[in-house]
Amino acid sequence: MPSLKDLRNRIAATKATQKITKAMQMVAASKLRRAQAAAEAARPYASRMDTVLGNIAASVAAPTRRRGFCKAPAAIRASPSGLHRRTRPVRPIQHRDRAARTRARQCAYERRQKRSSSSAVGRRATTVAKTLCAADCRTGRPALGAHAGLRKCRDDRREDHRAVRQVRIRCLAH
Amino acid sequence: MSGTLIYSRFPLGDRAIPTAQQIIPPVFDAKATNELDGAVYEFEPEAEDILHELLPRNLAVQILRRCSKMPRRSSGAQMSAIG
Repeated sequence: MPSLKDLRNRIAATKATQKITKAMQMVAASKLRRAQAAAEAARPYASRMDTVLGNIAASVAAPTRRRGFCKAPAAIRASPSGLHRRTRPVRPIQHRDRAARTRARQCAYERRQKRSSSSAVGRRATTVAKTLCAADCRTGRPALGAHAGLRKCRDDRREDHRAVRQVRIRCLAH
Repeated sequence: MSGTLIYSRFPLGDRAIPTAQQIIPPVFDAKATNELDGAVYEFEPEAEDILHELLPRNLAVQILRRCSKMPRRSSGAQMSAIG
């Protein structure tokens, strides 16, 4: 038969254990919350990464169905030649635009091969496409834009991408 | 060379279900690749170069993604055992 002192000791020990357990539970709860938040935060990144890689892998796997788009070199942004061409459309393309012209020719070649249609994606490419098409429309004869297989440009602003100010121009092929 | 990641899945709460997923070579979701709606982009640098850079990173991300659920479950189990 335990004495009164033993019983008191036992009660105190149990209460102390209870306190410790309660603290452990609170710690676990806070860890759980933190782990959950971390897992949630990582999910969009991981799934987006999967998507991006899937798209790239698909385009690598099926290159014959590729559709080209004009992509201008970085220099076009700083180049005033876009403005120049508005006033002098027949002016030979500027040195800094050479890469853009090469790309445009490549697009035209692919179009002839029935392998592609052209569209410009992004600000730099859009600038080039607009300039090429504007020159054609003004002179009334197909020149630079024809190289790229472009006849007419249409702004196709994507609502969902307005936040990143992405502008896609769809260029209709001849 | 091929690699399979074996991790625990918790579809019904506490019970862990061991699951195997092939990560090398990577398998991509068909739904994800259709997102561009047929439009295919030309990449700069070349798509191969991008893949070369991103695939190892993606490997780490996918492993971390699988592992990130485990501390959550262990804390959850601890909590429910006490409660």
